[in-house]
Amino acid sequence: MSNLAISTTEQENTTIFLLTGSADLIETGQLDRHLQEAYVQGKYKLVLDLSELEFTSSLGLGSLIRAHTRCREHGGQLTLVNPQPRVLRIFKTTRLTELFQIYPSVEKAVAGMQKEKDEG
Amino acid sequence: MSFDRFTEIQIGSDFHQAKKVEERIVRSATKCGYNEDTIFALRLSVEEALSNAIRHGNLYDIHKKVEIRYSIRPERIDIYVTDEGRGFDPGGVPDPTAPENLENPSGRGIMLMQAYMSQVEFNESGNQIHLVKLNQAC
Repeated sequence: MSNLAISTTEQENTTIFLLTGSADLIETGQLDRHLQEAYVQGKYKLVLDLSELEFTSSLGLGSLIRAHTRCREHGGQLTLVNPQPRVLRIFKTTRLTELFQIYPSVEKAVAGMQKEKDEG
Repeated sequence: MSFDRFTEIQIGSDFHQAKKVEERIVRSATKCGYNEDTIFALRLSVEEALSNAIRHGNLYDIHKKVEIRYSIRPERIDIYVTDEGRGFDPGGVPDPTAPENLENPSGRGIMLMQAYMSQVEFNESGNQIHLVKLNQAC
């Protein structure tokens, strides 16, 4: 069964995490550590690319929710990109599609976050 | 209905051991021919059940055990997960989809199991969950 790989890139003052594999009960800790490293560097504009994420459970959702709250509290934002259909269904079932902004691509997510910042 | 093909496993309150059980159940269901959507639903529900047993039932106490008993047949899957906790009232869990609860980082496990399984039942004390997944292809 797949593990979780997280790669990080930067684009227009936004940190983009690409999650590949499964954010399950073992791997969620790795996601939390990556997020914590971003916070330590003062990075609170985060895009999580879920296009390569095959699985998550409520533990993974919990990590994302905590991150969403923390980014907002520090004047930033966390958005999601292009979840796979089965993962998207989890978000829809739990109505977390009402909490998270979900974009079809990283470019649109970065542009969307920049637009929101410009509009104040 | 014969239930003589139950596998019984006991683990400690440890996520790594839980993941091994989850993988074992998923492998067995895959071999039995369940489709990918069902395998996903099964994996999610087993993970939620084991996670709840360890976190909420046994309170991460490594000395407390989680018992898993499961049967995988072509027409249905039955899984029982029992912890050594005091139990709880499933009816007392707040609705995680209510607007005021959306930002709670926890509380979605039962709801997900109910959404993805054909049937979810608790014993009277609340320390055992019974998951049923019917094979829609049958």
